[in-house]
Amino acid sequence: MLSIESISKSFKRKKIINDLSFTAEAGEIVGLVGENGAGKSTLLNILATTMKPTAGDIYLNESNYRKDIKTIRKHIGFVPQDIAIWDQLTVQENMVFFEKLSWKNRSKQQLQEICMDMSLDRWHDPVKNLSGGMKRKLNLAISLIHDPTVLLLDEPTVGIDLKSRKEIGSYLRKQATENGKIIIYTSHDMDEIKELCDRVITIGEDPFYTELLKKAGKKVLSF
Amino acid sequence: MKDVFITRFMLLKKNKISLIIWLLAPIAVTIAFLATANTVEDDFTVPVGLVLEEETNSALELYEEMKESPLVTVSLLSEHDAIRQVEQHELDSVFIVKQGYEQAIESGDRRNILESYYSDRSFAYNSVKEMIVSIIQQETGRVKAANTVMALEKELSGSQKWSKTEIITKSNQIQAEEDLLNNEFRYLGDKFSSSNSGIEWNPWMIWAFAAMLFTLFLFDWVIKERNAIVGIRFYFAKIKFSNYMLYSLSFYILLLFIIDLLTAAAFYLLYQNSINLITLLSYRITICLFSFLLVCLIRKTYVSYVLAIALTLTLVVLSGALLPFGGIGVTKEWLNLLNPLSRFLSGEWTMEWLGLCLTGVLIWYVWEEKKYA
Ligand SMILES: Nc1ncnc2c1ncn2[C@@H]1O[C@H](COP(=O)(O)OP(=O)(O)OP(=O)(O)O)[C@@H](O)[C@H]1O
Ligand SMILES: [Mg+2]
Repeated sequence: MLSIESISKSFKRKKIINDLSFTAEAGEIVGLVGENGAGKSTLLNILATTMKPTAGDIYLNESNYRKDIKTIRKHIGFVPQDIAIWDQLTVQENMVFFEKLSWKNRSKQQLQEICMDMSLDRWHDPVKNLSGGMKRKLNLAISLIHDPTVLLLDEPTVGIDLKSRKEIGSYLRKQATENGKIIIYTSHDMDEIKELCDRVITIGEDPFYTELLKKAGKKVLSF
Repeated sequence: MKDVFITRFMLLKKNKISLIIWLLAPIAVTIAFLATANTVEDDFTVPVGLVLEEETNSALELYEEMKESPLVTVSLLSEHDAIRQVEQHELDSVFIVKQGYEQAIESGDRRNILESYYSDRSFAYNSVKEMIVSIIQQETGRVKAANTVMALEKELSGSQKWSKTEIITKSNQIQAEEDLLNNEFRYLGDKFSSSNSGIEWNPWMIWAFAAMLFTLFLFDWVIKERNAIVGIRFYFAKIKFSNYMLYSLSFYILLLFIIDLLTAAAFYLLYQNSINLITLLSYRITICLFSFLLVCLIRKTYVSYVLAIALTLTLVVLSGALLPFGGIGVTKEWLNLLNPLSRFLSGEWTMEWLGLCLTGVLIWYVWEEKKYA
């Protein structure tokens, strides 16, 4: 269980996140929705430990984010909004590179399977020759190498074609339901959010998304 | 460690060509520099012909003295060949030692002992003539001194213990001893100039500059990787980014030192120049740590290239290497201390700089740790 207890975040004097609390259970996919600049990426970065909240506490099961940061990081799979892969390496080399640095040892075959789950089959191609969508798939695949329990995905499917998106969606669903992962997910695609997420958190002043999703019969928590 | 080396190798493999170029550049530059410096020097000597009509000691002495000069290359020829070569501009000028040369020197008569030929393209004729005249003057001076000594001896003691040859030999010997002293003195005072035969370039000096420059070039990986978006993934890796950087740095030091050992072997074979490997290692570590720290402060790769060139040029000027005969005269003690190269070139440990750089890396490490905590 991931519990967020009244966290706030300001940059200089500008308050981006104000007193936000919620919990996400194992097996749950939580959507994170809001207009551009609302603070979705900021929140995910805080949950991923790459940013510190100005106030508030976060717990992953019994571990406190302030005290047990090392253990927590082992359990987190973070897909950053900006694609974080080596352009000069091939898909395979990228996977092997991050496997070498990861907490879990994976065979080449296992690495290839992760890529296939993301419907990425250009194993030997240099990343710089891949399309934007394929890079996104690899960006996602790398974050899954160490089999994390918490998946924090910042717009992972931008530019990915509908068929692959559906496949990635059902993969994530399986990860949540069968393997008890906690998945927090941002997207600007409301169809995707409606289809995939058990619950939605909306952030930002504008009630537009809250109303839209409530109308569609989603459980929405807004901040 | 092993995993870092494997991943480091994966990244290096993609830059094979530039890697090989930067690794081999210092040795290539040194060899190329020494080769051109030597040919340029050879080109700068004036080809002069010498014809000996008599092969007396004095005549041969003149020939030997001329050979010593770094300014001219002398060839002994027959009169006919010599004049032909001057006409064809193969020789700058020709000097003929006339029959009776020694006799004339002994008697202090300096008229008509030499004959010379030159052409309208003999640009160095006058300087060569001056040189020869001064050699002869020295020679006659010595004979004159010997005569005086003998006359004095005879007058004062009434007997003749010293022969003229003995006195001249003694005088030559004294001069040689003083020359030696002189050379040694200059050698201690200024490491970059040497004495007799023009400029003797120390290959390690050229190498030291080149190594500095190309190590800085090579270390653009630090900038690229610190800027890389993939950096965010190190939060979740089993190796912290700071450790990854440190291991990578060790990897580079190791790789570069292997190349340095090959360089040492090559310089030994090419120039019979040996170096203390501890000195070499300490210099290598120092420039690697220094480059690492420097590029850590820089965000753009081109800035690091510009800085690398500027820094190397500054060191060249500081070391007075551009002006091989004593530089601009700023070989002050403190400047030498500031200059890591002077330590290296005098075969010492670059202790201060090594210590300074190690401290710098430590500070960097602590700072980086804080950022990731
Ligand atoms: N390092 C930072 N320093 C100052 N301001 C920042 C920083 N990072 C983000 N911000 C600001 O915080 C606000 C929230 O940014 P964030 O990236 O979290 O938005 P977002 O909801 O992810 O937007 P998008 O949908 O465009 O991805 C923005 O106004 C942004 O300018
Ligand atoms: Mg964002």
